[in-house]
Order: sequence, then C-alpha cells, then structure tokens
Amino acid sequence: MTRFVPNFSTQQLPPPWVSLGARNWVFAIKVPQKCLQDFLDTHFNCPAPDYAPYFYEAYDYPYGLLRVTKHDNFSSDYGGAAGMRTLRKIDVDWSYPVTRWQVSPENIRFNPQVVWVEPMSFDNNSYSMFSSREIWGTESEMARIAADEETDPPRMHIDVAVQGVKYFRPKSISHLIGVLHIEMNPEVESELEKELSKHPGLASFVGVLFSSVRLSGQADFNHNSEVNTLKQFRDVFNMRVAVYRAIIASRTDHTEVADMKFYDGSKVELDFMWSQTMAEALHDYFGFPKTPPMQSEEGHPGGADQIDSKEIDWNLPRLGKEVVLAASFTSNIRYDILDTLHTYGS
Amino acid sequence: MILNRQDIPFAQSSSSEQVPPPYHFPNVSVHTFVWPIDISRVQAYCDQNFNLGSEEERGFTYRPAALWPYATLMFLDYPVMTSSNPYPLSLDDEVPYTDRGIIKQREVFVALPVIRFGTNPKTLVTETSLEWALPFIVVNNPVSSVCGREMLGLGKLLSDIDIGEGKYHGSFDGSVKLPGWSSLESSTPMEILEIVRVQTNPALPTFRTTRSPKTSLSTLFESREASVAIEEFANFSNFVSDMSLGMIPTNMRTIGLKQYRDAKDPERAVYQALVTCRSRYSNLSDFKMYDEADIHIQFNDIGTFNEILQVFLEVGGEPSGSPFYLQPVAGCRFTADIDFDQMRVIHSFAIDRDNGLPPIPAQSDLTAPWARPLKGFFGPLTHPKRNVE
Repeated sequence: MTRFVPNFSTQQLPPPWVSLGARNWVFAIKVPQKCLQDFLDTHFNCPAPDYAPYFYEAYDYPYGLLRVTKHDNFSSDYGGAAGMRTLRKIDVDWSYPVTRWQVSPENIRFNPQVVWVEPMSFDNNSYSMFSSREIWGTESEMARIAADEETDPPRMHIDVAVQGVKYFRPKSISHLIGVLHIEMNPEVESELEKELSKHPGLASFVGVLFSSVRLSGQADFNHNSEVNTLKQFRDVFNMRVAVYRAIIASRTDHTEVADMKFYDGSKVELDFMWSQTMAEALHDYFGFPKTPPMQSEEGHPGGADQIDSKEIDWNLPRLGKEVVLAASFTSNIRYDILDTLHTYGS
Repeated sequence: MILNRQDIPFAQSSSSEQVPPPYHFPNVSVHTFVWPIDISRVQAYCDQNFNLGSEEERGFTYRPAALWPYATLMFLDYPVMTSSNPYPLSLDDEVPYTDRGIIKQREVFVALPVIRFGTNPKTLVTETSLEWALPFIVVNNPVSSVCGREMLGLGKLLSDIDIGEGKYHGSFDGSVKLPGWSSLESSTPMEILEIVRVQTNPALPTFRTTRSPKTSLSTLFESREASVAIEEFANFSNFVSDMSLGMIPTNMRTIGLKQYRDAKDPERAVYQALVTCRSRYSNLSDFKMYDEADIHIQFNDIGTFNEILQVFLEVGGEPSGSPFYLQPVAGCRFTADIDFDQMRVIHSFAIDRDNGLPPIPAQSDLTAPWARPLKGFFGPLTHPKRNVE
C-alpha cells in the first residue's frame, strides 16, 4: 500500500463526517432535462479514455434540489472519534437523483439504481471545502454564505457570494460577487399533497427524495441516499490531462428528521446573479442563456451588501428561477464513503 | 494542446477553479525575515515528505542545505496576479485566461532550503539541486489555494492575512489568522486563530532603533551604494541571492509533495509525486533592511498549530498554549516582479492499487536545471515528454 503522507495542510476532516442537528432547507427547481443529462454525459458516461462500467441516466421529470444546510456541530468520525475537530459551516449544493445502470462488457444495461449527483457545491469553511474536493471529489467552491431565519418579521434569507468578475476583461479585478439569493416567509406553510398536484412529475421526484431520508421513528432504511462524484486532479503541466480520475460512491444519510415543513414554491423568491464567472454554470446546470436578457433587473432585491462583514458586489443582472416546492427540516446527517467504483486509465 | 490516446482527460467545468500556469505577478511587495533553524528538524521534514521509500528505489535524497541553516518567513502582497498562458482550455470561443481579469492576493510562507542529492557519482553531479521546501504556506484567495493544492503540490491553506504599517511610518505589522482548534480536546469548536504576527520598527536608516545597526548584518547594506548595487545585480542577473546572503531567493525553485488520498481509505495515496516550480524574482527595487533587534515575531503554539511549528521552531511535541517568541537574524523588504513557471514533476512515486489494477511504476526526471540543456542536447529526458521544454 502506498501510504498517504499526513501533514499540517492535509489533515482536514477525513471521512466519515457527522453533523448533529443540522438545519436544512431544500428548494425543488424545474430545469431542462438536457441540463441534467449533459452533466452525466460529460462527467460519467464519456470515455476517459476507458468507459466506466456504468451508464448514468437522468429521470424524465426535470427536477433537482437546491439544498442549503447549516451545520452547527460538524465533525469527522474517522477512527470512531466523532467530535474531534468540530466546526460550523454552511453548504449549498445543486443535486438531483439519476438512474445508474451497470453495463456489461457486451454493453447490456442492468441493475438500475437510484443515486444522486452534485454538479455544483459551495462551502463557507475551507477545511471541509478542501476535504470535499480532495477526498470525496465534490468540486466544492469556497463561498461567503449567509443563512438566517428571522422571526420579527418572519423571514428566511440565504445569500451566497464567491470570488469572481462580472465580465472577463483584462482589467477586471476579482472580488466577492453575489451568486444567489433566496428569500421566503417561513410562517406561510403549505400542504405537500396540494403542492404536488400543481406540477406534473413532482410527486415521483418527491418519492425518490423521501426514500433517501429516514424520519423520526422510522425503522426501515432505504438505500437511495448514495451519491456519486467524479474525483479528478489535473496534471501539473497540462491542464487538460488528469493524473487521477475516478468515480466515488458515498452516502448521505439523514436521520432523526424533525420539524419538517413544506412551503408553496411560488412564494419563494429565488434569484441567481449573472456574471461571466458564473455564466457557464448557470447555463449548463439551470438552462439560463449564456448572456443575460437585456431587460434583466440588477442588484440584490433585499438591498443586502455584506456577508460576514465582507462587502459583496450585487450589482449584477438578476435571473429569477421558479421554485416548485420548498421544505425545511432539522436532522442528523452522516456522510460515508462507500467505495471507488471505477478508476480511469486502468 | 493535443491529448495522447492514453491520457486521461480532465472533465472541465466551471467549478474546477484552477487557472493554468505560467503566472505573472508584477510589483509584489515582499517582507522577509530570517532565523537560524535546527537542521535536524529540516532533515525530519525531508524524510517525512520527500525521501519516501528506499534511497535505491527513488535515486535521490533530500537533505538540509547545511551552508544555509536558516528558515525564511515571507509576507507577500500581490496587487496583480494573472495567468500568462495565452491559450483557452478548449478550441471553442472561450475567453483566454490572460483576458479573464486579475486577482489580488496576500501570501505568507516559511521556506526551508533543501538540497536534492543524486545517489551515485554521476547523478550526484547532474541531479543535485538546491530547492526550497514550503512546509507552511497560506493565502487569502480561494482560487490560489485550490490551484496550489490540486495542481502544484503546495499545501496552501486559506487564511486571513493582514499586511500593513505598524506604529511608526515605514515599519511593518503583519499577521496570519487560520481556522484551527485551540485545544486537541474533543468537541473543541473551530475558531479563526492567529498563528503568527510580525512587528518591526521602521526600516533602516532610522533613529528608532534599540541598538546601533552597525552591530547587525544590516550594516552590510546600510550604504546607498550597496543598496543600489543589489538592485542593479537583481536587474542584470539573479546573483542577488548570493549578494544578499540568501535573504532574497530571486530564483526560487520550490519542491512540494503533490498527493491525493484514496476516498475509502484516507491513509492510502492514489497519487504521490514531487513537483518543482520556479519563482523568478526580477526588477527588484526599494530594497530596505530592518534592524533585526527590532523585529518581533510571535508564533502561537496552541492546539492544532503545534504540529506545523515543530517543523521550523524549537517547540515541544505538545502545544505549550503560549506564544513562542522568535529572534530573527535579519529582515528586509523589497518590491519585485515575480514569474511563476517551469512546473515539473521530477519524481512520481510508485502507487499500489486495489481491485486487481496493476501498480503504477515510479518515474523520474531529476536532472538539475543547469544540466537540462546539456542532457537535452546529448539525449532525451526520461520523464513523459510533456515535461520537456
């Protein structure tokens, strides 16, 4: 075995991870089915140079989840020592369930299984961000994130900002720019059945979603919580070449789910902020045009300008996105690595 | 760039973050502080990070540079960082990286000079090379940290870095705050903690000294003539590193261990290689010395920071919980342009693999920089051709 050399810069939270009492907000969003499948084709289904013995297929119902999780007690359980190196953080990711088929050498697909993929992820803690990227393979991006539930007046408010530029120009200076803004009134609850009836296919999507969490008192544990990521690292000299590329399987298990509430998606205000830094992601993952419409409104609708006392540039075109369903809950979350499914270049 | 059939393509996406080298950093403000170091600690660091496996297998050994048994702490303020790579990543209408704007950054690192010795009479001549290990390196820009960690093998951590003037005009006050744990006890929450702070009096010449600078190393550079000479040397050549007794590493070749963990077994490496990069300093100006008696360096030997401080400070194996005060032998500041280039994998270690996959054999390209033109003339270099310039 080739031993990894531990040192000060690489001691970030080896898996598994445990988060106690995490606060979750999820927002179901409708996107073009092509966006869902294109990510699978470019990251999992293409030769590199060999094919993985799997084929990933997006569902017909074109929904995904924008998830915001606020962790107040997050730690590594490596070696069974949960509680070591405890930290607080907020992460935001875009994820959706897909069907992973096994593929035989004769190119026959069999054994379909539901797994989740996470094309986009933000984290406001550098330790877990490095671990996400370097161990799990999640291309997590360092961000400034605010997630607040205010009671007077009742208001749930999430802001995300990253380092970037509005336009790619030689003299543009990278600075903190807004990425997305979410706002809703958490006291205006709704009923799940009523919301599901509004959007075709949403019930099936929510069915898959529920099979990946265990509610309080629920004994059976479903196995739809597997997450697949493409873990890859560049060559030092040739940006187009990877020195390592593999598909990693992990699990994200929510347990002790409590305080679950559903909200009418149409009452949620979700805006992505357009910049050339984010344009590719907004286009590829959410189907926005590569350039913002001429009539786009600009700026943060709530007039916010700071996160963590850092000035954020919100003077960017605002692209609204319809939310079809929203929910919030509290849970314990355990993140486990299952295996390396396929190592490319073998 | 054309991919070979056997190359593994990197799946590019907007989240990949890395910016392609080489890089150009004009007008960088640099503050440097030097102190003597116990070379047995440097040797221990080399053995742990570079001298992996047997000497016979790898064909080289890293040792401390016995002629320069000093550690160097550098604070750098980059007003402009840009890629000087003219090519977009693909052949479509992507904007070249050179035209995507600039980033600003602050960086702090501790550099230890180490020498890579070839292990037989021939390689002792052609493969011996002075390099700089950076056991501690922090930046305040996330793109830079990801790029450094994932491409260059530099263990850059993300931190808050203050660089400014102290109490007096012309003085220096800099500090680094890192995420860390003040105690190794379970359930101790992460905090943003100060790991190092440096304060000086004004740069020489100044009346605000606690002793005569004529008794210090800075006397050598006290005259205007010496100062001009240094800058001229820097502009004409890279001999300034000799002239300044190594305080200005104008042609600094860094060495780092680029490695990645296995996901399932984090104690196992799926890739492990030694990567060198060149930082070339040019257009040096505004060179000034600090009186070393008036430089106050304080590292905080607390909690999780103790591990890294053991590499270059005389601290114990357990955190003392109190500041460690350091007396440097020299300190200076200057402004320079820095070019960061010549990234090269000089040795990739053999990797054992699971699931019936064959092991990846070790490969080397250890020829010292000065000998590369000769070797290139008389015969091919041994490592994959992408490393040949």
